[in-house]
Amino acid sequence: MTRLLIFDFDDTLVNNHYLDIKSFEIPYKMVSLDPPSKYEIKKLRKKGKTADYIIKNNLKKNNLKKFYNNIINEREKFFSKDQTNYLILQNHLEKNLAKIKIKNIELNIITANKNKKLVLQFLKQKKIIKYFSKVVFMDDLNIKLDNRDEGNRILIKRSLLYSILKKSRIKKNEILYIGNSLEDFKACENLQINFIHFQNDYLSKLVNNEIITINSMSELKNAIRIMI
Amino acid sequence: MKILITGATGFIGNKLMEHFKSKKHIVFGISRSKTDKKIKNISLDDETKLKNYFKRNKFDIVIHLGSTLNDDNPKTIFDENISSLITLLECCRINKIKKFIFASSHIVYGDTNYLPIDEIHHTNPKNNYGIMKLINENICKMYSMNYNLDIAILRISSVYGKDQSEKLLIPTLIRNYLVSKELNIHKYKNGFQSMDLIHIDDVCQAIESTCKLKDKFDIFNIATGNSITAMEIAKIFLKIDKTSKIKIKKINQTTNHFFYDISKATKKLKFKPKIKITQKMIKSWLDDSRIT
Repeated sequence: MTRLLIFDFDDTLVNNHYLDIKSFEIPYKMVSLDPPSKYEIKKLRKKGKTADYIIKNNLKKNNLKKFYNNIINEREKFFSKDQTNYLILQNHLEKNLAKIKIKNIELNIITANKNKKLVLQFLKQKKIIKYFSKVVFMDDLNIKLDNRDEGNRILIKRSLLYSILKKSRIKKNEILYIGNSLEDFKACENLQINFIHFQNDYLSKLVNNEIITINSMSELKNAIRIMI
Repeated sequence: MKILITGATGFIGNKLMEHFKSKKHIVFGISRSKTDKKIKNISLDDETKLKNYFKRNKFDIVIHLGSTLNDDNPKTIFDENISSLITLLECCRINKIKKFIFASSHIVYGDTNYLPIDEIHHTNPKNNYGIMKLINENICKMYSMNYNLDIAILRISSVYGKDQSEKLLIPTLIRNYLVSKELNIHKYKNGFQSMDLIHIDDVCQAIESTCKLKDKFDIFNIATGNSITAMEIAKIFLKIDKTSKIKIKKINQTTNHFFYDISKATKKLKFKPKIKITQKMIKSWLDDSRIT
């Protein structure tokens, strides 16, 4: 029986496609340059590339390397302001969270998002923070890995998940994690936690057919039932 | 307390001898090295000599820091370190020593599975030294269970401090700086390595606290619980002298990131690391190195 449901934040609880695109468009606009195309961003994001890589790659291609620092500074300014309006809550989420909560299943969130303020503000604004008993950030664990290669991303996810496992009295087989990426899956596999893949057309697609996959939060309740 | 320290001429051993002396304990040091006349030259392989030394001195606590580091010769590493530990534990058992402290290493963890690494993290050492330390930990556990010895294992993270081996990170950066003002640091495929560097004085404090521990057997991480990268340390040098340069060498491999969960040591040993790497500290080491 599932007693604890852990959600990944970015691209699982929220759709941050729009925010991601804006986080390139606006800083580039501020330095009067054309941003990478939506298609290019999407393609590189699917390969797990970082924003830093996308910017460097784009500037190198257009012979504009000297603008790198300016764009990075503008991007920092962009994220220092409240950008919650660019985040979109996944459809059917709130209704389903309420249904799950009634069944006495504890809900947690883990996130590798560095912008703690943005995440908390968004959860409050959308009035869904009440459903979650814990939100664990990278900062809470003191993890400072700037490089976001695949190995590091998996390490971050494992660390976040482990921090919950360590403090929780709930058995591993009663915990279920819902994430959208390959690193989410690999972290669960390593820690032997059940995993549900939230299929998200923007960032990632898993290739393993054996994994239970949902395309909408409305399918969540049924997926939990299958896991039991 | 009457304390015996093995490996007393090593970096930690030397500082620990001074630490306990300053706290008015009666400290004895042994080492296979003959470099210090105040330290008794006894090899841990010499069973008869060691047994007599134990019988004569009636120690309360034994702190085992001594180890052979020669990674090129696996046979020597395993022969010397394992047999000497057993000889030492036998002496402790026969003489009813109150506490045996074994200085293990963070190396026993091997690949990082999650951060911060706690004491129940899997152990999968990648080199002879790490494997030897892990085997020794298990021998200690066996002695504690079967022969009723009080044993504490300390998995000590990377230690830094004045007068440490020149091969290690901070002395290497100091040497780089003094020779060419160029600070050579490595950048791996997954970024700069995150490490947990602990100051020697904090290690001494942790060992002292462990002497008072009443548990039969326990393992503790001795670290700061915080990560730092070579880049961050190099930037401290840059603050001291803006004319110095950071030279990044790209390494086409991934590295292991590590820092440790010290909550168990904080709770049971009341251990709180106090010293941080500061600009003032590095500057004073640089000044001392210039003089010598």
